[in-house]
Amino acid sequence: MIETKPAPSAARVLLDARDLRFAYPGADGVAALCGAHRLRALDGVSLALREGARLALLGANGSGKSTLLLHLNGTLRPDDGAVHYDGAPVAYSKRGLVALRQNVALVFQDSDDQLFAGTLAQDVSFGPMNLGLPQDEVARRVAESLAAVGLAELGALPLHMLSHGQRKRAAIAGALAMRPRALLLDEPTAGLDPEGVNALLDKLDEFSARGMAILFSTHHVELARMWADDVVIMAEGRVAASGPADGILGDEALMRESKLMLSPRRARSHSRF
Amino acid sequence: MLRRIDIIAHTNRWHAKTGAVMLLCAGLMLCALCLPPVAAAPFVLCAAWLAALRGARVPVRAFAKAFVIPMGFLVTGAAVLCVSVAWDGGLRIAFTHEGARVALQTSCRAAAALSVTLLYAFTSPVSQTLALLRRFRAPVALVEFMGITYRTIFLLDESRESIIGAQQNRLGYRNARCTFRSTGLAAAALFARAHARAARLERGLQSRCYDNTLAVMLPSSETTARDCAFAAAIPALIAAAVIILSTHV
Repeated sequence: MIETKPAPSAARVLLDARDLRFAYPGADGVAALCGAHRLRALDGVSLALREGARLALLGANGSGKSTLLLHLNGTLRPDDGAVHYDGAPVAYSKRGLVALRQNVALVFQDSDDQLFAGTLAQDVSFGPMNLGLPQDEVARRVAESLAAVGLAELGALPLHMLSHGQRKRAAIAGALAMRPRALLLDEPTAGLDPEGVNALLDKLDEFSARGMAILFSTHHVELARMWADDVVIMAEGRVAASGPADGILGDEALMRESKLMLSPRRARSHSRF
Repeated sequence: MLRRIDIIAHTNRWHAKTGAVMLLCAGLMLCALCLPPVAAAPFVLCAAWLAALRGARVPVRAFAKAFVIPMGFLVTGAAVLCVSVAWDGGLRIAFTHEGARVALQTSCRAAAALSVTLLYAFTSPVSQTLALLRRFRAPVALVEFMGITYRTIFLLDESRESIIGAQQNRLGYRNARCTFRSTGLAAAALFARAHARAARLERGLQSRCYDNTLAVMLPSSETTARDCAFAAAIPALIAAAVIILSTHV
């Protein structure tokens, strides 16, 4: 059973994206080729993530969700606008990025994009090792993180022996081992069956209960309604709406406009069965 | 076969005793390469097979299958060594004793070396081997390259399977011409995917404070001094036995 808690609107803003604009290299060429008018992946996006928040980032494919998450973790640098962490603008120096990334962890949509080591435990240890922690502390964090995602027994296994769902949890363990204040997850439920989704949401509940801010991207309205306190709707690189989940997600016209619902024709034909 | 060997390497009884296995295999390999091959090969073969099947409990079928395939190539090569081909008013193919002797020696040495190699492959997880190399202060860049290659091989293998499956579903291997074309396209697609995968992996590593080194926790080893003594004693005994046999027979 998923419990919700009141949105911590009074909590301190941890991450603050202000008027972000970004275009991938070569975007103009692609736009010219396919006749698209949109060049920018992000076009003036602003978003605030508060301490302990449960925020869902909703949007259709190509709306800019993943690009925004990469900005919040400092993996991409905006062409214009700024990301603030803990009230200060992110410094894109080596030291500044380390400070950001150990507090704002990102879990990629495809787990194989971040899993590289020989065994699961070794992969989870990568982040803490990069923080220069002593060996016993690294081992403690690895054990804790694997236990937190229910993979404590599988630490010695190579990554290719894990199932899809286990790899997802392995990627989350790798992020947790940094002991972040905010956890960003890019479409964490993609490819998971309902049981896998339930297990994942249970884990997110646990992390949230510990005070961790959680932001995940998805295009499943029901999932956002079920889990998040607040939502941000993205469409074509812009924020189309944001606010409490119940209010925003109840707006059918907005959901259709943002391409997050089936067309009425489809919905009607489906109801005949 | 690649996956099967890897799974067995991670689940056999000696999977955490890679230090001792490495010592044993190094000793056996020295015996196979340096001692008289016909006398040493039976001992080395027996030791390697017994160690794998009885000691580490590697499944017989998997070990035998991995042994038989390269042995097929070996036997074919040895057969060629046994004959001489000449043109003397016509093609003459003749059996030669010298060729047979060379073929026997080469086969014995290769079979023994192959058994030792398989013993190591089936009993030692790559992560343990890399950890040992780090402890032996092997160049960091080399060890990291080996680690990434190991991970990438399996990712590419998954990609290869999905590409070929997709091609088969669209009759891509219907005849020789289609097969030739599909294989080329699959190789090209695999190259492109590997490139894209590498770029995404780098981005993934950056999100965890990657600083151009892939430092990870070393896995624990269960190798004891007793294991090492045992591993060193077997090749020493084989070497002694072969030397005694060679001098007295």
